Amino acid sequence: MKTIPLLPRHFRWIGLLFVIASLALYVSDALRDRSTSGGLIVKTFVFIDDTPGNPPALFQLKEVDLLLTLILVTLLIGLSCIAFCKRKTEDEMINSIRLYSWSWSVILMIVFGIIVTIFVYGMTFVTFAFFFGHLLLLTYISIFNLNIWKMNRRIAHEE
Amino acid sequence: MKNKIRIHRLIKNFSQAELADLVGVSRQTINALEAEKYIPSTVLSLKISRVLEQPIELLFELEDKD
Repeated sequence: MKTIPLLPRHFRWIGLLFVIASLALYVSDALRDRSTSGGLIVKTFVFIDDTPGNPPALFQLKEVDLLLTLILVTLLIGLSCIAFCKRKTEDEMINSIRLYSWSWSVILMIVFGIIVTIFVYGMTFVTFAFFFGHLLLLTYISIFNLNIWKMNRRIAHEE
Repeated sequence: MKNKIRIHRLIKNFSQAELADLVGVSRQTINALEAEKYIPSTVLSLKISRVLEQPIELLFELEDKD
């Protein structure tokens, strides 16, 4: 029988640390004085950089602000670790809840994506586009844990 | 699909946790099965049938809506 590859259980805590680190970076970025501090400017290899006002770069080393990249990547890694880690007991019902949660999160994100594409414009649209993958993982984690919580509450109620 | 897992588990004097251990699932799964909130796979149905020493058609019954 085919099994879903999942991370060991302790990755949930590693994921949580990544999410906290990402939020801390976001808060420090939001609080920084943009007139004196320039973020995290690092020379790095880029596939494409076509930032308006700068000469376009293709597959070359270039100085870029890595802070937003760092925030997005740590958040994505953190949420992925939480979403793809094993439960205490892995069985077929947990897998069915997992499939149910993935299905609903994909449906919700498609609806959300359509609404945002039609009704949101400008920089806010770009921000939504940045966080689309993160929102998918967040929706999945929420639906999955809500179902587990409802199941445990039913058992506690029966006792 | 209806099932008589709870009755036959009680006849065998197993708790939900004991039955769960014997068939290799969580207690929550046995609880969901007994509450008819979850339909088991063929493998799990056969394991339950073996542990409870009852034929599978006695444990599970199809309903008209199935």
